[in-house]
Amino acid sequence: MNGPRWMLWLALLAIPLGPAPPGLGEDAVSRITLKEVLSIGALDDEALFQWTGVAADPDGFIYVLDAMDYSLKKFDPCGALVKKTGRRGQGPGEFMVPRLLDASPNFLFATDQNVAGIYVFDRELNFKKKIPCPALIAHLKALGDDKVAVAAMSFQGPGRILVLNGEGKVLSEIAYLDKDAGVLMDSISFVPDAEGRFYLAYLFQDRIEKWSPDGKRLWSRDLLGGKKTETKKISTFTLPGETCFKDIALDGRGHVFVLGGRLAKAPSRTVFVLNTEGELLTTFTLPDTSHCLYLDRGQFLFARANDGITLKKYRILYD
Amino acid sequence: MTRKEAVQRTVPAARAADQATRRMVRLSKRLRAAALSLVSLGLLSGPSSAAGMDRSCCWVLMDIESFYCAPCLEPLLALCRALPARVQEERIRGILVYGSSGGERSELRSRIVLKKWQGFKKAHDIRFPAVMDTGPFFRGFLKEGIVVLLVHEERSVLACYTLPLKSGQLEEIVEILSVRAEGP
Repeated sequence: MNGPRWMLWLALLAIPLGPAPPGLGEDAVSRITLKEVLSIGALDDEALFQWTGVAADPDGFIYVLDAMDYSLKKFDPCGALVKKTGRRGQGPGEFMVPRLLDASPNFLFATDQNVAGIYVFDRELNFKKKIPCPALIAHLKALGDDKVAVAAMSFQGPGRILVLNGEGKVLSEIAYLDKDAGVLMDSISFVPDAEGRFYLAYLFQDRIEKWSPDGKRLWSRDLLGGKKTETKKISTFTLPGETCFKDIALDGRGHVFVLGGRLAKAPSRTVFVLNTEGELLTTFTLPDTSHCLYLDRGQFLFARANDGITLKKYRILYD
Repeated sequence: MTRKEAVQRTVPAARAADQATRRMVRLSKRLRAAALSLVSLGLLSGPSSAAGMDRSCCWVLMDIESFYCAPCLEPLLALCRALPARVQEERIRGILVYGSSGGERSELRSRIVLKKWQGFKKAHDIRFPAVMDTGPFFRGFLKEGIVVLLVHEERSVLACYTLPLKSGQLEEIVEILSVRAEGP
């Protein structure tokens, strides 16, 4: 008789110690600070001239796209340039406007702003193939060696995230904006989690959203008090003027990092940290303005400095 | 053609030519002042002064904002591709100008822009050097895009072009700079 009762009490006591529900436990961070651990590119070297995309592999190597010399560069974990490839052009492995970069375990995926496709390189920077894409690409994330997700660029059409295989076949699609919200208003940055859900940050709207893999919006929230971007009329088009957000990323602890745009308190420097349910946990400020955030698996954050001639790597310190 | 028709055709053309001449004179005066400022700071020199060579050169005014947008520099590449390395080295000087948007002006920003220029220059094998407009002496000259000024050694403007060039203008610049670089 005493045995089962004792086990019941033990079970009740164990409940609070078990896995935390989403939004609690690992989300209890109240303060985040950054400690600089690496800086690549200075005023007096030739490492970087204007980097646009960054990715890191599990061994700590860092890959960077440079728009000023049309190259893809590989740096070792200490920041030394190991290899460089690419030049200006439209042939295999060449760039006109190198822009986005992400990495899977074995490959690098790069985009050229005006090319409807994804260039695939191995980790030694050998060009492997081009994955065709039905539209120009506004944002890109690798889902595996043979799967990528892209935000299809549209001037006035509906906003879509496409999941493509290595041959460019559309495996699934999320239509996150089915009506015409205005020119460029569907522009987003996004990041997938391990379960295939997507977190979206709208570049010109005060909206952060979470979507299920089957295309259902799970939540939507604002972070700037509902601020609206000013618009300007160019020819017959009304275009948004200032960015609300610039990028979104996930750390390994279930935190969503959102980089504020021009409308944030510290333009292009304020980072909002949310839990997976969209609750704001804290904010912190980058030391310099950045156009993107990249978080690797080792809890390091990469951001821009010196207008793109410097890449900073920070360790994220959680309190 | 009647005399009246001839006058009707000729007068507007003459007026336009007159306006262009006046504009060029105004431009020359302002340019001379701007150039003298940079020369006095030791940042700008004229073309190579080999004996017997014509003393005209080409100044390329570039808005530093364009260095955050590599495609904005495309028209400059077309110009450079058309000019031999020697002509670029001897006859062209780049001047990086804070454009109409202004923006933060600091030594750090100037150094960042000069570094971007070095990267772009190396990637495209551009041969002409560039300096920062520390003034801003040349700010008023740059309304949009990249401006090419053909200048005589006395700092008078021979011609002023805005990139991208119109049909025939590239050939015009190439001819003037190439022929004059050859000397008599």
